[in-house]
Amino acid sequence: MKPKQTEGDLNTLTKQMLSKILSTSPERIFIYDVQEQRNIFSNRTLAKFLGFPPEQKRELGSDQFQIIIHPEDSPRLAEHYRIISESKTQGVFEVEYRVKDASNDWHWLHSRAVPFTRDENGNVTQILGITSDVTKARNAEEELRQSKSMLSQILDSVPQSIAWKDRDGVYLGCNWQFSRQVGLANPEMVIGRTDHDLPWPRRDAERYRSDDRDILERNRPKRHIIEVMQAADGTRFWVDKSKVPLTDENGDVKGILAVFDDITERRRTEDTIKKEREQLLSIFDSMDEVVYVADPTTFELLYVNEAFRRNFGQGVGQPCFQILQNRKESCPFCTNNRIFGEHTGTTYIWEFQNEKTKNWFRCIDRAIRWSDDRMVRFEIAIDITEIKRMNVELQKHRKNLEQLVQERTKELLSANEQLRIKDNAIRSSTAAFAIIDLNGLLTYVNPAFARIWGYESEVEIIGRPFAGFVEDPTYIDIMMNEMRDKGFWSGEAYGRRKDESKFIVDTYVSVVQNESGTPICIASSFVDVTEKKRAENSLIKAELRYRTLFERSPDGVVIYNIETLLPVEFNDKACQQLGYARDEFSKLRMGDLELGVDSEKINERLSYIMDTGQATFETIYRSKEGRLLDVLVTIQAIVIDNQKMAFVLVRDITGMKLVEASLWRRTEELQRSNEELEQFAYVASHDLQEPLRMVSSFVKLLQRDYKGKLDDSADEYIFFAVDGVNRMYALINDLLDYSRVKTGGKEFLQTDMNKVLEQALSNLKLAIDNTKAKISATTLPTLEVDSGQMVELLQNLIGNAIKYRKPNEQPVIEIKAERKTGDWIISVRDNGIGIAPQYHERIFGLFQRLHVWGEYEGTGIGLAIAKRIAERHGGHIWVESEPGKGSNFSFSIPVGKE
Amino acid sequence: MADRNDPGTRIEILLIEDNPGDVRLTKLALKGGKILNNINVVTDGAEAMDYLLKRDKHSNAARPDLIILDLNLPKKDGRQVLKEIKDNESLKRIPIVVLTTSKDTQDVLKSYNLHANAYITKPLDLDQFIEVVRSIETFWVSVVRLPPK
Repeated sequence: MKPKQTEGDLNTLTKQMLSKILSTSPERIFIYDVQEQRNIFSNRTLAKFLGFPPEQKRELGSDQFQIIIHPEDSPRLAEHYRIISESKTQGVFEVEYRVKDASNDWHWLHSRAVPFTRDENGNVTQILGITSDVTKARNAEEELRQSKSMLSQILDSVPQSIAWKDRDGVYLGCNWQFSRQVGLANPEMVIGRTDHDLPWPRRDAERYRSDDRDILERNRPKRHIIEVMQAADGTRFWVDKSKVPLTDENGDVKGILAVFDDITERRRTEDTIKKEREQLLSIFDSMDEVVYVADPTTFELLYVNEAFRRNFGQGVGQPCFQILQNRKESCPFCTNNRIFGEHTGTTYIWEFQNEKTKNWFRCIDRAIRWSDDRMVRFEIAIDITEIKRMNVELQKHRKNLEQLVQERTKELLSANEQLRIKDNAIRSSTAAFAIIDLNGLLTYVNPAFARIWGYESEVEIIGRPFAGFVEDPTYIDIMMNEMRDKGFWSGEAYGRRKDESKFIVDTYVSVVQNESGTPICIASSFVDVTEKKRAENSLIKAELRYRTLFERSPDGVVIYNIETLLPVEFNDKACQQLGYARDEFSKLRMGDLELGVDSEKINERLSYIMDTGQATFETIYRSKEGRLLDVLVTIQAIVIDNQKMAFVLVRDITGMKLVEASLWRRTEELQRSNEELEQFAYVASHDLQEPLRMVSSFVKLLQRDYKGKLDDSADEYIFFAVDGVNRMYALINDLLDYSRVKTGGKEFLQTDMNKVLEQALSNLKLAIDNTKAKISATTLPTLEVDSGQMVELLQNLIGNAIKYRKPNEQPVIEIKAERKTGDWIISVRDNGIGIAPQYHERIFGLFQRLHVWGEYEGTGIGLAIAKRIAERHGGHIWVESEPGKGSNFSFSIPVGKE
Repeated sequence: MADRNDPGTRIEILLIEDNPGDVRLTKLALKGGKILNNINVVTDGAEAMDYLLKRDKHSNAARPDLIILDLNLPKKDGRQVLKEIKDNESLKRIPIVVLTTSKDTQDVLKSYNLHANAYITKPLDLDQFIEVVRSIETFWVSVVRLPPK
């Protein structure tokens, strides 16, 4: 240092130095003018300070400043300046605030300012300040604060109690759990204290301190110290404590960290478990049953109860198969596979006979968790030797019992059955049965009794005096007297029914005695003979009736004895019609009067009748005068009084036969004449054709060759001749047709009439089309007919319907089939011109025509043929019609032909 | 030998028919036809055989190319005639058309059994009759090839 420096030099140095100081200083030094409200001096612009780019290297006016300052801090900063500017004293004013730099990062700025100049009034005019960027420090602070906070959270969330002390045993800190455990309000109350200051007993504190000293010396932790601690309120609790030494960077022990867990609960549980186990084991010991636990893999017995020890001796530690079964290795029937593996948890029950003791055991096996957490085999073995033996006995007894029961039941059933049969016999008997006590009261009646006396049930009768059931009670006295003498009484009496009506009853009463002969009751049976009597009467009446019939019969009635062939009974007619007197007739044997029979034939006939029951035949009898009579004989096999008889009816049919004969003859004649006529008609018509052909041909030739060559009259004559010939032809043809109905008729076969109709309509197609006839039909049946003739018939009727239509009207024709009793009726209805009733018969005659030849075509034989066909089939034909109202032609076919 | 099928050749037809009316009609029908023919008529069965066998007065009879035969003939019955002709070696080849009034199926059967070449029932109507006869002619003379004489 140079002595004696000039003031000017000193100033220069200090100015230079000042300038350097100002520019080098990392802080921002500024002077703020209060009035102008801006910095009038700064060593570094805020912009530069904050690292703004060169463009912004100028003093930030208050506006720009507002932009970069944190909005929260701006009012504080303003307040800071206000305070300073108003301060009357010197002092250092500090403020911290945030601004953002060019990169929009926040900087914490720390300003310390002092009043710089004051005016004459003492008000601050300028402020001198220094601003430092304390962002880093602040951030570091923040981090530290955050980690401290986290640490605190961790410490307080772990369940353990944590505390740390220095070498002197002074608590530097702890977590809430510790403070709570100790019984203090919060960790703050622990800090600064030693164990002696904390509310545990002195003895404990000493122990803790000695532990601490130990650890500190050896620099080795002590873990899992299990001890009892006492809390501030005196409660004692078990802990699992660990203490570790805390060292600094050099490895010097600075303090101790202690952590402990409250294991009171656990110990209690363990205690409880231990106690329970002891209890259980004591139960086992009190049981008579053998109980043991064995390891499933080593088979080592882990536990045996008292009973086990008694039976097998002490065995814990030995293999179970050795102790229990005297085996050298595990039992082949070991049930471990039933209770372990997938069966773990199931109880397996089984029985076996111990080879050592020959006793029977029922074993209950299960896998259980042992104290050391492994699954072990647990078994209770119950000695069932006695039970087994008893069971066998029981079975034997039961079998015996069952047998006894069966036998007994059989006995009972048969006894029951007997009773039931007897009871049924009485119940179902149609004879009434009653038991009367010695006082005359009915004690038992069967249903028949009730029925006969007209009551609904026996209930209405039992208990009542028997006297009420007879018409005349005095008859009871008679009964009683007799019974006293003879012991029984029988006879007919009048009973009185519920409805007061009386009836005859055949009675039998008897006294019932016990072994010593004392009468105990009266047994009685009754038979309602009203019916019998009534039957007798009817029989007599019937007898009379039949006798009358017998006598009055128009036929001869004879009852013959089959053995003797003599009449047993006969009516007057029988002998009279043959001219015999009664005594004479009674000597005549069956068949004696008959012509052409011998005894052999009679017997044959009789045996036939006996087999089949009856026979009816015609034969000839000779009367006494020798007259021959035709007779109709009916013989019936009958039984009278167990004797086989022949009941014979003889009817004189001589007269009838004559009539019959004449009828036959007439029929034959008719038939013959019919046939002749048939033949005649056929031959006639056939043979007539030949000459007719000649006439026809040559007249036509005449017509052809000489037409116009003769005069008009000749032409006319020829015309009529030809016309006559044509008509002749037509007639002969029709006549042939007519006769062919009979002669050319085919056999009757099952024919579908619908097909017949089809054919007829097809044949009439031309006519139908020409007249536009509308034809409808219902379904026709199948009948046994000559199909060809049926076609002809239908064709005829339908053809007529078309032919005789109303002019200018469409013919509408309906064909219907209807079933009436015995016949099918087929009808053809039309809307044509109709027929007046007076002609309804005639139109069916041969060659009957209602119209002039020229008006309607046809010879008039059609309907005659139709009639013939219908009649050949056994039916009829008829018409219902009125002029102008159309016609309905119907024909019937008997059902026998269906 | 002239071919009978040549136009210009006359056909010999023998008509065996007892009914003069039918003879007339048949001749009429045949005459009206296109084919030239000689019609010879015999009116009973016996004479028919005489003719064919050239017996008695028929020693110069022409051998017929076609015979039209009625069944119901006096003296010898037509059926018998048929049999005899067809039994005869030299005559059997001559076509015989039975033309009769009979419709009887027995007659039809019998005729064919006796080897009649055709059986026709005489129609009742004149025009039909003429038609039929002409068709017989047409068929047997123009259509058919007749056996050599």
